[in-house]
Amino acid sequence: MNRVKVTEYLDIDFDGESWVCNRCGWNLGPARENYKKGCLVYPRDPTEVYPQVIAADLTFAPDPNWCKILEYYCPSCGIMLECEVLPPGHPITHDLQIDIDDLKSKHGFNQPLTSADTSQR
Amino acid sequence: MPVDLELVKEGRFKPEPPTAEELAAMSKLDRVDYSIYTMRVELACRESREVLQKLGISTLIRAGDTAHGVYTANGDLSIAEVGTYLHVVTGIIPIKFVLKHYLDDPMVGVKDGDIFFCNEAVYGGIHNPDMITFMPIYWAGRIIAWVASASHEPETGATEPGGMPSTARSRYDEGLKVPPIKIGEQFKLKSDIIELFENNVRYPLMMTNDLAARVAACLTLRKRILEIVEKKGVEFVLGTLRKMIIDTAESVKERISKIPDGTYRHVAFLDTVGFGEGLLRLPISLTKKKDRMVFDLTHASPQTPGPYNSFEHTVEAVFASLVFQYLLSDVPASSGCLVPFEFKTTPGSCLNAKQDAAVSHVVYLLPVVISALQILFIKALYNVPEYRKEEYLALPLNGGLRALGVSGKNQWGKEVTTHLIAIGNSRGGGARFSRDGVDSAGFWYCGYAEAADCEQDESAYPVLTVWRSFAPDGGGPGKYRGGTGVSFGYMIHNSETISLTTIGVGQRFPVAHGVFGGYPAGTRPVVTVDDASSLYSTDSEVPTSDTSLVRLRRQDAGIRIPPTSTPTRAIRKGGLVAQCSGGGGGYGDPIERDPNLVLRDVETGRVSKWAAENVYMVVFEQDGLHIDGRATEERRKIERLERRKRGTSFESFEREWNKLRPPDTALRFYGEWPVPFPV
Repeated sequence: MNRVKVTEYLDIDFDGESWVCNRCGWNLGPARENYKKGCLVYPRDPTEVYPQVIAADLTFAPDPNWCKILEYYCPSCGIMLECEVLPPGHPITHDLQIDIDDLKSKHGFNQPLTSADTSQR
Repeated sequence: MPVDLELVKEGRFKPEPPTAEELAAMSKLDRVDYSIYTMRVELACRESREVLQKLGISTLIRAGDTAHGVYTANGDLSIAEVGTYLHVVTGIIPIKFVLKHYLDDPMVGVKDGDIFFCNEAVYGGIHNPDMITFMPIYWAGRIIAWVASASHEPETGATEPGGMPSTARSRYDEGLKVPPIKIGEQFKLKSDIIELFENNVRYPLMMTNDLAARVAACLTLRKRILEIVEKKGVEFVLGTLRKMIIDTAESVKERISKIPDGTYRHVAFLDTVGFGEGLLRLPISLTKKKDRMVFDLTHASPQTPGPYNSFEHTVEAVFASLVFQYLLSDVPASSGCLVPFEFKTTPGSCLNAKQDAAVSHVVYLLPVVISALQILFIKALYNVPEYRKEEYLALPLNGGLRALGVSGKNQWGKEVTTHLIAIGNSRGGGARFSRDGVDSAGFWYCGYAEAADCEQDESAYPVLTVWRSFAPDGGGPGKYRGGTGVSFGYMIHNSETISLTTIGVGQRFPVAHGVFGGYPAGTRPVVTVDDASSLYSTDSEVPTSDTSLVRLRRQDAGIRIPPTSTPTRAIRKGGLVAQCSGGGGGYGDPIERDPNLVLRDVETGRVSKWAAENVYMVVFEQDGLHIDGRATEERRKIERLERRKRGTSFESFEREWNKLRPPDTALRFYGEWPVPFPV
């Protein structure tokens, strides 16, 4: 399989042109689409990550009415591939839109990949 | 308003075309000499920094919030020293303004020994506390280069002390604003101009002293450049200054070319406009094509009625400050670095405000959005194996700046105004590709900046430092965690009452985001106490951090948590204010963090035991002092299973998510809700 690592947890498989979780090999969907569409999503209340310390309007944690942390999990192994902090209801960010043809060209798709290019498990 | 808009528009930070003389001089340069003397000029810039830091009295100069640069004869930045790069970028347009409008003006003119000044944002600066002094270098009767020395001065005669009034509604609330102007001749400052400056600020001694210190720094730099001219000839200097710009442009283009083409997006938010709370939307997209990058910031919130606004050119200047520290940290800082980049903003937005807008808090606004750019660079650079190094894949220092200003009579009976700058200069660094961010790393604009010593603050200002301690859980959790910020406690003493100003962002909404599953750094409030003397006059537990202060629950002391940006008010002797510098964002999934590193963080007070157990998912042995490795592994397996149970498919999640909306109070400055991301 011809795969290159493009983030800490995501590979792109050139053969199937798909996103792949590099911890478990799960196929997350077409590489020309948003990889988040292949993830499980959970809106985390920020006070579950940061202690409020006190009960007041302003605390030591972000305001859960103003923001949520959207967590994106691999459906197979449960690794948190990415998270983003958004106001409730704000459009989700399509953060990675890599030109797959240029990526293939830069990695010499038709030639053997170097060890540095391939996924590191 | 008589402003040369053509000069301040985006493209004029970029270098002018080389002259025929410069090209001819470049062709004759010896490579070894070129290498030696570019370094020599950079060292001369550092020498000038030493001069300024030793002569200046502003707390920000002493802490290193300065910059020095050498410019070509036509005003392009050629060589600068590590410092607050932002300042040298903002020297470009004022120099070009002087050349264009005053060189041939018989009532002004430019002569050897002239000294110029500018602190006006609409003429290419940032905000009026940032003051730049610049001088031409003459040789054989003509200008061959310019030198500049710049620093931040914490007083401008604005409606509030400190130069950054959170209540400002327009430029007319922000104090002294001086367009490029001649302030000295024959290497000496003009007395009438000094009188003008002193008459407009609350701390005239600092204004004049630091003005003279910047002139001394310019003169030092000028002297070193002329020494090189005498030794190597003027042609060598002209060629070297221009070649540096052309070389860096080519180097940056080559670096960018290796990144796969594509579009990368992120959205940041600010939670205040100064006089009131509210969200500002700051989406940014980076489109990379061949050797160019275009940054689209056109969907930012409208211009605010407060001081959280930016001019179009300021976005590019702050961007330069970021890339000189990260993406291009190994490339000399020059105008050439900016060649491959293009910015798009919408007129009338908070990132492209009208000329009469208040902009003094632009230095708080832009680190939030420009930090998002660093996240985009990390995502883009990760695709290139040779860039998978911590120097490139590093989240920035926390960009949610905080400041604490004090003004009034000090313990020596003198009128003083300052910012206690240790808070701004002890921010946690962002996590990196292969290790944690640095705790208490520095200043977002200048990683090199130092936090002032307690004794320095206490000797000049009526404050007592009652604690300085690492803020537990201050860094964003992750496989590699963000660096931790510092909690500061200051008590007012030796003065019956002083004016206090607190400025800051990132109270309700995190601003230092993580990457690849790393969490953002948390938020942190300002805490004030009306009379803290009772807290320190008993044998019982005394507060040693902001969290321990509120946990004491001594409501009788008058503990309050106001918004981070609060207008200037009086605070009496015995009053206390706790302010905290933020931490950096995290990198990677926190449950992949080495449990031994979590234990070390708990032992050193960087992470609370609560976060170790509930965020990093480690299990302690019964003694509470050691990690149970097997139980931790099992706990983390269970967490992965629980994630798969509680997570929902993207499609069904988005359907329900899109029905939500923040409270109206959060959207009063936001603009239209929601606005799609730039495509």
